[in-house]
Amino acid sequence: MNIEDKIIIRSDFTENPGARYKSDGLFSGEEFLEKLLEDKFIKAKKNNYTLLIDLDGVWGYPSSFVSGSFGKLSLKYGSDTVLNFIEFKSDDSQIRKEKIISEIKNPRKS
Amino acid sequence: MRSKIIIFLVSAVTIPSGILIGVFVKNYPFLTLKTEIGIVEGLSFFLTLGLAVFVPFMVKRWIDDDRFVKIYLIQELEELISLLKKDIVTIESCYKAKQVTDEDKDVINFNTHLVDLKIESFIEQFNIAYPRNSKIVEDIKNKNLAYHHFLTGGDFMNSSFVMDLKFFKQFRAENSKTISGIKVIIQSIQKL
Repeated sequence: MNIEDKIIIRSDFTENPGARYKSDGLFSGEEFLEKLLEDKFIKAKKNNYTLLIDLDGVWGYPSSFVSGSFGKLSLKYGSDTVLNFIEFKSDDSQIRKEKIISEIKNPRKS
Repeated sequence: MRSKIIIFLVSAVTIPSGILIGVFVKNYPFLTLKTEIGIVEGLSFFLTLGLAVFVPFMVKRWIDDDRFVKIYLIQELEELISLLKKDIVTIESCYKAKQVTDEDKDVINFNTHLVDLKIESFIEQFNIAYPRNSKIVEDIKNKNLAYHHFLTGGDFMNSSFVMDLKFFKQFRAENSKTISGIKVIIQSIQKL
């Protein structure tokens, strides 16, 4: 599948992600999911293309942010579906990419 | 200075000894020197000499290379431990102040990023030196993930979080456990 849309977290959202829920503070995983991630994911799924998520330039992704965004997306749509339509770019760190994919494959319910 | 003295002493002993042995062999009839040598004998001599010099040199080099690889890998892990100890400083400061600011959280998040980078550096080097040993790589990744989940996956990142003794103790225990786990990996590397 071709990449036809992308989210650059640093410029489109924040370079300092927050916690899990909007009630936990600014730039939460829930806020990211609601404002950006879910709509773009649904569009990618509907039109059968890949959504690229650029993880670079961000100073650390809290586990709660990842859980509140990608984890929640995985709980809703299934990990296979999410990984089918989302691709990650992380030149800064492969481990951070692996952590996020791990959360998608084994999302924590909170 | 010391090596020059040793060189002088060795020269002072071996050169006169060599001359005396040569004179002795030449002038005493019960010792005869066969001046003709066969090609096979000559080749055998040089082969033996070559092996005597080459084999210890190669073995020493192989041992030294392995030793230096381990030193570099262990250095990476020691630097990783230093990064993890920085979290203690941040959390202790939050505990003393009885509050966690956004800046404190950013510091913790950034440090987790540095920890990830350090682990990647270690893994890249380790995979070159020991390509068939995936156990250590998986072990360190799992330890990192568990620590990351504990520190940034719970209430600590919430804006309403209040630093208390319970969290402080839990953090110290988890941090200590992670550092100990890395020290065990260091021992495993020594034994490779």
